[in-house]
Formats: sequence, structure tokens, C-alpha cells
Amino acid sequence: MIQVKNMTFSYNGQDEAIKNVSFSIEKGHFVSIVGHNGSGKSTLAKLLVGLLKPTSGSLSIDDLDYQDHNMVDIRKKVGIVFQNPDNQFVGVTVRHDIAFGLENQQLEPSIMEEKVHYYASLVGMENFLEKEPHQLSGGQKQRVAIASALAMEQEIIIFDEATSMLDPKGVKDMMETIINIHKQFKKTIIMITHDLRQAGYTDDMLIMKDGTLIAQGTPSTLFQDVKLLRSTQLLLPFELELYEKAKELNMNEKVIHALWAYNSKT
Amino acid sequence: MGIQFKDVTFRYKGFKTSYKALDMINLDIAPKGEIIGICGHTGSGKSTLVQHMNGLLQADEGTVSVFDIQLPNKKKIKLNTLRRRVGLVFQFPEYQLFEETILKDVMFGPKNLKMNHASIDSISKSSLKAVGIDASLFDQSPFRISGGQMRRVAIAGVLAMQPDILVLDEPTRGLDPVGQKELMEMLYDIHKSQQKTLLIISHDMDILGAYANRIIVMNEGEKMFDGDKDRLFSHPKFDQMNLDYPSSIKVMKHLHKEISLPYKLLYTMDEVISHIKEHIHE
Repeated sequence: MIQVKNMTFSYNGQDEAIKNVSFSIEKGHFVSIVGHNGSGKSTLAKLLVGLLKPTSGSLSIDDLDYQDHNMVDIRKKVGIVFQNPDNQFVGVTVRHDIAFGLENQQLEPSIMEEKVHYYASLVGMENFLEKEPHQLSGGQKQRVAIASALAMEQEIIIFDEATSMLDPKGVKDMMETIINIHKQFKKTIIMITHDLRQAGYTDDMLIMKDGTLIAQGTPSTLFQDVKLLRSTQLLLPFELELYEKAKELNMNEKVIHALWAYNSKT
Repeated sequence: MGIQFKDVTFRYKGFKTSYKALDMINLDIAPKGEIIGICGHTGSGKSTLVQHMNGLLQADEGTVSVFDIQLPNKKKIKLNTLRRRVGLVFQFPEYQLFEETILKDVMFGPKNLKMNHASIDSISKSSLKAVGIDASLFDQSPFRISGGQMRRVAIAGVLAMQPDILVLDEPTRGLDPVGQKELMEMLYDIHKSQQKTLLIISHDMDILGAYANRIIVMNEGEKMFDGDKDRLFSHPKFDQMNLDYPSSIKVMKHLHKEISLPYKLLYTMDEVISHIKEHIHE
């Protein structure tokens, strides 16, 4: 379980990017953190993975405090996939990139090879193992980044807008992959996104605004609070906005009903 | 004549391998008045295609002509003129900001073109104004503003070169939905006021539906479709193109099926609302 208590963080000692945030995430849960650009959601991700240290307050995973002497153990528990795959491709080829983290674990070459194949095929990159980064598109590189993170087999994986480089089909495939990983491996998944449709797939949603946590709850509860969602600068999905407008404009009942049905389907 | 591709083929060459990224592309782009959307799944050749438009990549076979300059072409001077006329905004252009102040960063391009001082200054300032950056920010560091603002500054840097055609590779990617909308409105204003042709690579069919007139669909290095957006979204083989319909069209299809609302290709919330009001009374 991840526990964050009264955490504040500032990049420059003045403006607080994270303001007195507290929450907890149960082991095995699939959670989304949503918010506008600059709301602090990516800063939060970097704090959770230990790349930044809180200015005040505390955070812990399974009773391990984020103290220097615990960081080695914490990093074994939590991994991250960033937004831009170019910033995280370290290998010469896809094979080397996925193997990079494994090499640090001093695994048997045969086991390493097995894992590389297994995780590459999970993201549909098994036929690209010998490709170099410049031969891959952004979306393909991102899938490699996801495979590399998965290969570390940590119990918590944070996806920091990790699907933003993919095309719609890629996003859909990747969402399915993420959902499957969650089901199959019982991992805790934290998905950072500004796409409310994606957040709709998660068990629990945290909404950030200007560095504060303004709401936490299930998507189905939070989606009913349109006022709250609108205040976050996140555009509602087209069909939800249309449904709300139809109600405001007192449109014919059958229109409102048809739009409601459409929204509950998607 | 704006940009013309004739039987263009291009391969990425690795140490031992090579990969065909463009395959016999033919294309005509008018120098003024078009907003062209380019889509296709990852690895389909979209970015490779646009990098041929200002000579960053040159065709292995076939020719590209840009404002009557023929490519492949090894003359540096010719490539420079061409790069001035076709401005290319890369993905995540804010990563290329480097100067001490926002204004200096935008001035970098025109300075390299060796314009005189006064015009560099005024062009840079008006470009920043066009992208909605307030004069009070001009002397600030480009690294202390929000991601959305950084992207605008980077786009201003390209606008300051006064290109005739502006090519943007995923300009809204990574911005939050409100930031995306603001950026698209800003680009649309630039298009309207100066009639510049815009080429916009995007996966977002909502954006292409709302802003583009013409859409090019790339698939495995080939041009799969090129034409009016209405024709694309009513194409009998649309389902085989691996693309999504814009949200507005999906909703229209649903309303047509469920409550027999007459089907029509519509792209914006306002269009859909007035269409419903017109056909279904309270």
C-alpha cells in the first residue's frame, strides 16, 4: 500500500508544485491521477518513484519510508514509464533496451533472453528485437519502454501519460495491455493522464488541480459531478459534454435518453 | 505551385538493414488556403513524409519540388531558401528552446536569415503576439513558463521565419484538452488571417474533423487516401483504414440508429446541437 501524508513539494523553494497532498493507494488497485498541464500530476509521479524528494510531509510503500537507506528496496517495488520514449531508450537495439534493467539484476543470460522475449511479445514488439531506436516510430519506442519497465517485474508501475505518443489504435491496444497486466499480475497500476475516457477504465480516480488533490473516488461517482470535472480544465469527452448540454437546453427526452445510453456504453 | 511529390520513395538505412518508409508517393499541396490533416498509425510514414517537404530528408527515388526548387538537391543555399518557405514544427518543439529569454529564442531564426535588426525585432514580437504570448513575458526565460506556453514560443520561432507553408507534427500532443483546443484555435487564426497553408499531422480525428479541409491517410509508407474530409468519413472502406471516426460522427451514428435522427457528417458540438434542434423538437 502506498501512503502519502501531507506532502508538499517545491522545485524552487517558493512556488509549491504539490500542496499538502494526502492519499493512499491499496495494493493491486488500478488508479488514475488526472489533471490539467501543470496541475502537479507528473511531479507527483516523480515523487512516488523517488526521483524527487518531498519538501515536507511523508510517503511510504508497504511501511517503507522514502528515506535514503530504503531507496534501493523502494526502487525494486516501483517502476515508471515516462511520456516521451526518446528520453528513456537506453539500449542500442530493442533487445538491449529491454535487457538493460535485467543486466543490473545479474540474471542468467538464458533467463534474461526468455524475459526479453516474453515482455516484448506482451507489447507486440517481438518481431522488432534487432531494430535500432531510429528505425522505430514514437509509438513503437513507447511500447519498448513499457516492455522494459514490465521486465523489472515491480509490483507498482506508474504510467506517466505513457500512451500520449500512440495513435488511437495504439492507445486502445495499450490500454488493453495495461488492463491485462493489472488483471494477470495483480500489480498496482497508477496511470497519469488528462484523458477522462482513459481514467474511466480505472478503479479509483484522483483529481489534481493547481498542486492540490481536489477529489478522489470511483470514476462512476466522479463523472456525475460535472461541475467538479469542468472546474479542472479537463474537457469532458464529446459525448458527455453533449449529454450535459442537451439537459441544459431541455432537449426532447428521447435525445437525452439516447445520449445517456451512449455515455454509459462508452 | 507549392509542394509536389512525384513517385517519391525513401528508405531508412541501418547498419545492415534498410526499411522502406515511403513508397511511390504522389502529392500536390497548394501554397495558400489549405488546411491538410495527415494521419495514419504509428510507423506509417507521416513524419518521414513531412521531413521531405523542407529537405531534411531527400528522396531515394522520385522528386520533391518545393516552390520550384527540385529535390534531391545538394546546394546548401537552395535548401536554406526552401527551409525558410516551409516551416517545420517538430513533435515536442519546446525541447528545442535554448535561449536566455523568450524573445531571443524567437529571434534566433530570423537572425540566421540575416535580416536587418529592426525587422528581426518586429517580426519576432509580432510572431509571439500571434501565438498569444504577452509582451510582459518576452524577457523571461523560456524554461519558466508552462508547457503549453513553451510550445507556443517554439511555434513563434518558426513563424518568425515567415514561412509560406507551416507544417506541424503532432502540435497538440501532450497538451491537456483545454491547451489543445487553444492551440488549434490559435493555428486556425493564423491560417485565416494570413491564408497560410497548414499541414497538421495528428492522430486526433476530432481535431482533424474540426479543422482540416483535406485529409491524407498514410499506411505502411503508402498514401492510402487523399481528399476531402467528408469523402473520407463516408468512404466505403473507412473501416479498413484503422482509423477512428471523430467523436461527433460516432454520436451522430448512434442517434441516427436509436432515434432516427437524420444522419449528417458534422464535426463540432455546435453543429450537432443545432442539427438535433432542427430535427427533433422538445
